[in-house]
Amino acid sequence: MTNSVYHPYLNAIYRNTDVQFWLLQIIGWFGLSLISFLSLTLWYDQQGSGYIGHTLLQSALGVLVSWPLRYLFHFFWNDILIFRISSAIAGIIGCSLIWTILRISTFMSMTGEQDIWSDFGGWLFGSILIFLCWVAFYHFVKYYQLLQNQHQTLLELASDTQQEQLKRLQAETIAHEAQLKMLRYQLNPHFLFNTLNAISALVKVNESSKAHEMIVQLSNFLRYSLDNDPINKVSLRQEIDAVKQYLKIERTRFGERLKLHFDVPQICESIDVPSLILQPLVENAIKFGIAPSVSGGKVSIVAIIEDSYLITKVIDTGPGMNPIKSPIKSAGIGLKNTDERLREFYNDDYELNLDNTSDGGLCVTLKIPIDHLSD
Amino acid sequence: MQKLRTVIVDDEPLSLDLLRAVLSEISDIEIVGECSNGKQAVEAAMKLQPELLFLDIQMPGMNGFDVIRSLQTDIMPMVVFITAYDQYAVDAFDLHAVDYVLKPLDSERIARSVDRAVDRLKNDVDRSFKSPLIGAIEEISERASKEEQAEEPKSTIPDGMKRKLLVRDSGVVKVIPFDDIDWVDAAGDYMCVHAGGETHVIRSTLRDLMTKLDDNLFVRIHRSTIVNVERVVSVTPLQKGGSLLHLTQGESLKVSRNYRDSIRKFFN
Repeated sequence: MTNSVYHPYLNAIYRNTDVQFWLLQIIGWFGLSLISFLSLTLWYDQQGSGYIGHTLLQSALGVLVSWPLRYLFHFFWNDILIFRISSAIAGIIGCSLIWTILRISTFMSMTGEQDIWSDFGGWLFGSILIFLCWVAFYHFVKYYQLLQNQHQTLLELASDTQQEQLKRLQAETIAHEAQLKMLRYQLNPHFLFNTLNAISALVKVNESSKAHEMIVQLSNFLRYSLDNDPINKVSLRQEIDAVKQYLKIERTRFGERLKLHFDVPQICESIDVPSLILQPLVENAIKFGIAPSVSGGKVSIVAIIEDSYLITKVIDTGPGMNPIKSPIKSAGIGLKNTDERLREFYNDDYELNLDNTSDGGLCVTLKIPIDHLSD
Repeated sequence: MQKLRTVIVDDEPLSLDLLRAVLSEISDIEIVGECSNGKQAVEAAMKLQPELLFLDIQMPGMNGFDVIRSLQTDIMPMVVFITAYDQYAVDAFDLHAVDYVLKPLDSERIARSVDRAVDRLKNDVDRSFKSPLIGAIEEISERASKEEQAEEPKSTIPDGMKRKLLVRDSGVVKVIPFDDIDWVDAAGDYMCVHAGGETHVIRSTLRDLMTKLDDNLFVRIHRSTIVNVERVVSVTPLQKGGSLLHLTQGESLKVSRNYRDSIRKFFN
């Protein structure tokens, strides 16, 4: 809305052309009777109630007689100019004639004056002028409205494009942010420096083949994180392979304290998942489930298909979560980021749940729709 | 010269291997103990009384900072912290001149830390090693709690509070009845109050605290240590006239020769 319309009634008038038409009809015609009263009636000193009544009646007749003109113009509105002009002239002449006849006959019967018919030409001349004005004003209003509408549409169009651009920009920013966040995950300084320290230890104690293995694992893992755009999907197999590289590195670091368990049936492996979606979950399992425990624990990754959904669980044997705190919030930016990404991929058709397991650990359940089963 | 008796602490076996390998190349060092968690570290420090401790910060259960808080000031060895990545910690260590090394461990950097330790042992007659450590740790926890909540409640002790101690722990003020205190040690401007297995750090002096505590309950056993005698379960005499007190929470405290008379009074 570009026009500032404040009141609800005014607003209705502004939108409804029928109301506008009738409002202008009444104001116009009864304005005419006021002029006619102030000029003709007073000038000729015609004070009888018949005269005043007639000025009102002729306006009412005017409203009725001019009414069909609206439909006439509507009918010819999109026709060629010559038809429109001819129909307008015909309308003006027709309405003027009808109105004049009605006026004269009612004038004679209301005032008792006789022999007005001789003045027919004078009465008709006035009528033609009035209807000419009516038609001119009608067209003026119509074209004004048209102009307003066009202006409005243009403005709306401009704001639509602007909004679309803004949306696209926002989407791009979110995608970029996700990528950056993921990158920061993979390049988690704690993980990176501790891993490098472990490799350095293996070199120092002459365990060169183990050191070599760990360097390869770290390289594979980093390559996977750098090559995969978080807005893409990969097969669950690829995703699990990357997570395995990560977990093997962690197992070398933690030694006896970290045990791993995978149960991913072959049928699940070809299902597409957002790339790097499991990484933060597994990293949380290590950070909150295994690292704080002196005796260590186990991280399990389990996948099943239920109806047309893939359910993946990351389970640890750690201390579980505090039920008072909101899990998604307290688990930090890792889970929040995962939640945001899932929403972008699946709208509301996904689930991300955190539950304490019966033996005190934490189970993160990820439920996503299956796009297709290929291979 | 005599070698520095050293204990190394890290929860990752490979990291411990590396630390041992690097330190074994330094002639000034004799590794007398290896621990893979904080609890072991506290026990080893008490039992072995090392001069130098290489201590990883991120450890399960009791982390490196917890180890420092719960160690008695009077037996505190020199400490070199080990950390993979912690911007707060590194800043605080620099500020309080606490030695630290970063992972991956660099042999030259570790050699420099050892040199520094040897120098300090020669020159520092005071041996007040806990004070800068506690200063740095408090600085770090203060920054961390400021990150969490903008405003932290002030810890003040009203006059009426004769029998209780107010301590601030990560922004929360806790009330500790004096009778619940197991032992207290002073570290420079800080006091470490150990109660029920936890350590609370407050800014105060030993003299200040002594005036508030019950003389019949608390007794000085070392230059910077006072103990609640009701918590003492057993006493082990040591050579050179000192002794070791064992407390109900499983901790051990060293009694210096100079204070053995005061403790003897209580058990007669």
